[in-house]
Amino acid sequence: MINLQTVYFRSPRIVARDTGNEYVLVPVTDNIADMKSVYTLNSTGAFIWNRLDGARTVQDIVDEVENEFDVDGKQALDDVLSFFHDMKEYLIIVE
Amino acid sequence: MTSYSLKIADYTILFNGMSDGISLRPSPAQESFITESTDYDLAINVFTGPVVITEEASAVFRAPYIEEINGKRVKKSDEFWTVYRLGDYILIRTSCPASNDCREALLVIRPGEKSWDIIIDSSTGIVDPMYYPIEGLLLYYLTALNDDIFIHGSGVRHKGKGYLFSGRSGMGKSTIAGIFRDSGSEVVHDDRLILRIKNDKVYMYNTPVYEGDRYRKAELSAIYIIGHGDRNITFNTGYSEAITAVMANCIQHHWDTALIGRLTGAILKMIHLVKVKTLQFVPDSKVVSFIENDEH
Repeated sequence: MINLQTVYFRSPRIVARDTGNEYVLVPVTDNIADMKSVYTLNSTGAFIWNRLDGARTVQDIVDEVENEFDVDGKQALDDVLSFFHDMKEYLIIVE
Repeated sequence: MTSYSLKIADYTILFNGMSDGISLRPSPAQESFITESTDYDLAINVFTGPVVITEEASAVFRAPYIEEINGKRVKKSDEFWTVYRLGDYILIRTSCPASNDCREALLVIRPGEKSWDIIIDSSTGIVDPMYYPIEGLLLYYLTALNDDIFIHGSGVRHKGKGYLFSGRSGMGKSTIAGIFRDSGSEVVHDDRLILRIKNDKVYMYNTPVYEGDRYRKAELSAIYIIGHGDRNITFNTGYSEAITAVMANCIQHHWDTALIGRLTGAILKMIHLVKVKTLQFVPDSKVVSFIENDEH
């Protein structure tokens, strides 16, 4: 579960490369056999990634997505929760 | 001999035998890469003796020993080679599974310096400093620390243009190289290439794998990420997709954020200079004219 009042950080074991309006995320690993996929973030994901500054809560980011993109509050909440769920599962973000 | 130089991807690598009585013997695949040049980009001091890792070194990256048997990847051992960090130095301790003489070896990399060491635990004192897998490890760190790209793929030069076909195992890299070879094109390499960016141009180079091969280089015009299809067709890729597609086929050690940053930076720079496209192809000679006429 994602708590809306939680502040998440970018994992220090991820290298992010800005490709314009998207990001490529590469995990650090200690075994060649564990090298997993490289992840990409679309423009919405990149917008959220840029706000993972160690100060904003999930709710803060939901509000900013709603203001930035042409979506209603429920859509913004669903999109942001989906992003955080995936990022947390792949250890790309940490509390 | 006690000293020789190899020219690989426009790097001159000087090997110097340092231990008493040592004799260096390059493999047949490397012989045609020997250069008479006295200038060098990197000197490798080669010693014989036991391999010892100081306790201060910390292991940061490991590779199991995997063999491909009848098309299947089989893990033979958990310990093949291990990368250690000691201050700014990178140490790699490895077994030499393809050698009867080399019991194990240590590659000492000093980033930013022109002199590295190889210590080989040899029973005879007659050593190839590039025993498998030392050669690949040395070339990987040499290129990675110089913002080059070390990649699996088939590179061909066709009518003055260089094309790199890359993709996962079984996607047709060797097949498409063979088709271009049969059409009269030069195959730069059909397995492992080094890409270097110089003066806003991208060059691909072969590496010493095959006996009798010679030094080859071609300017790159396009990269195709390949797969089999029921017709010949290409698709453009965005920057992120291109980076992930190219990166998936690169030789890479993802234990260090700086190395990852250098590789992604080099790929990003390259794809601003050379178009990366997805190619689905039918494995016959028509793909040659299709690539000729493709926009890149």
